[in-house]
Amino acid sequence: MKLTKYEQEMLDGEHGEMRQKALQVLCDLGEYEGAEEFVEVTLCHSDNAVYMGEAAAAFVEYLGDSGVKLAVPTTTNACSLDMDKWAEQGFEPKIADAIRRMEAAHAKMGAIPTWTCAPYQSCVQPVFGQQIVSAESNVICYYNSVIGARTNRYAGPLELLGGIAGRVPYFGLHVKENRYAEGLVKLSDEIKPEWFNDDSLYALIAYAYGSIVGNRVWAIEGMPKRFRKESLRDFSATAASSGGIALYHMVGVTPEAQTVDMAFNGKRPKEVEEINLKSLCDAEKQLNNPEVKNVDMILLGCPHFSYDDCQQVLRLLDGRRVSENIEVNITVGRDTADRMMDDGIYNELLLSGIKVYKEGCALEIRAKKRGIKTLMSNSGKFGTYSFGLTGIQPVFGSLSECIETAVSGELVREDKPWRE
Amino acid sequence: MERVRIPCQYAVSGNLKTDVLYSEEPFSFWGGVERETGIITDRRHDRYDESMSGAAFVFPFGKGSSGAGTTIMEMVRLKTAPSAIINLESDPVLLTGPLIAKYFYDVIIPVVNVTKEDYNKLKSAKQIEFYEQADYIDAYYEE
Repeated sequence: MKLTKYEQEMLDGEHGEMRQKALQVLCDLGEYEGAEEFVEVTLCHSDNAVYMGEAAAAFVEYLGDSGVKLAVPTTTNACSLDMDKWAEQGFEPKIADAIRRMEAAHAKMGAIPTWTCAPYQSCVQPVFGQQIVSAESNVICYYNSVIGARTNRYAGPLELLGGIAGRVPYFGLHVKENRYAEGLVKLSDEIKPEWFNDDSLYALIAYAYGSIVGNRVWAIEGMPKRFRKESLRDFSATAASSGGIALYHMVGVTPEAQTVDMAFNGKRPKEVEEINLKSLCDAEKQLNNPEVKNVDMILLGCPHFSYDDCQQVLRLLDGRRVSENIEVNITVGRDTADRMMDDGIYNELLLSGIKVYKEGCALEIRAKKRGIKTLMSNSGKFGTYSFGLTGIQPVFGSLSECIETAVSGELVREDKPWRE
Repeated sequence: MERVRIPCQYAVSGNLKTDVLYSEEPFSFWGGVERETGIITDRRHDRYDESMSGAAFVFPFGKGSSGAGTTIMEMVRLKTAPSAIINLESDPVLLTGPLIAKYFYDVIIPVVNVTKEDYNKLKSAKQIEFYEQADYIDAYYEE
């Protein structure tokens, strides 16, 4: 690695022990990746406060206590729980304590306390072409594919070291030439444009896309060019969990893929695959649990629901209350919660019987401890990870099915073209 | 045991001889393994319900949410981590755990990459030996 004078000083320890260690790790990474130099970043998204045991908490606390400051604006990802309502959610004081320690450590380092897995719905976000260092797979995928900022797939706490050093090795998706698509997924004509009114279609297509593409950079043609930002969030989150997608080129949507030619830099796709009706059936089979008759709990907000999503829930409820037999949770970021508390939507949701939790990750639900046996969600990411984390495969349904189930107290399944 | 030398690229190197857990499915550490035991909990994975603890875990590449780094760090703390990792390709998400373990904890988990052809050779290997400052691993087979 070719180092600048400042980088050499960092490596020699002239800018403190933490910056030195951070750069040692990043140098090793750069050498493995064949990078020749570092690239400065302008934003960091830190994913370190979903409690995965004492190791991460102690590590972040160690960084915080060292007095080191983040070199760039840094947003914080979801943590495990609502920092005010954790007891109600069934978390042990030990975990709440660890989260508070990590919150304090981030504050000491100068991070912006967004506490959300959808920071692009929050106050600070990158713009097209910016070099950034981000963890959290859905955020990485969204920033690369929807905004056109540039980050590799980093993981906590590596991105924090990038934020401390203010740079990462210049390789992978930081380099323009590596961002072009190799293969193309086409949507079959069997999939009709009007089906996209159903929000769950984005997760099904994304699941199929991730299964085909794995960890490569491909393009997808045939998706609608009018969309809700939230649909692209759901697409990003599901594609990143069923495959290892860090960047997809959605033709006509992704800034770097306004045309197929742009996505492929004028070259021809090396491979072409199709997503058809059968792919959607298969995707739903993977995400859904057909054996559930009675739903104990509905979880919405994986990734975090936006302000608009919450309004959508109120529109679907249309003044009705949710059944007493089903617990309904919505998870949102800290500033979405703040905004909803200010204008009354938060209370309106509570009055309808829904519990709104901020800051935490929906997948951290203490299901077993609370005697919950069956779950339902509208999230492809939740459907992919839930069994591994909670031991429960949830019912997968659209937002409207989730809300109708919540109100009636019985599982509501609508007719869909991809259901037999 | 018969020894076969396999060329590879080291991301993290170290001297170690260890058992093997071979798989053909991409793997997500976050949500895919029980940290306390090292047992694979992803029921879609081909080594579901088996333990990677103390073994060279062979899988093509990492997938999924980026919680892999902290998961591996916690497994290092609980002494349930795989002893080494072999991939076709390792990405930064996966390397986070072993790299931080090396510089902040003084724990070495060798990580190497092999070609597709050599990867298939690891299927029936009983043990694998890793080396510091080398460009190969040795796979051991029952004769």
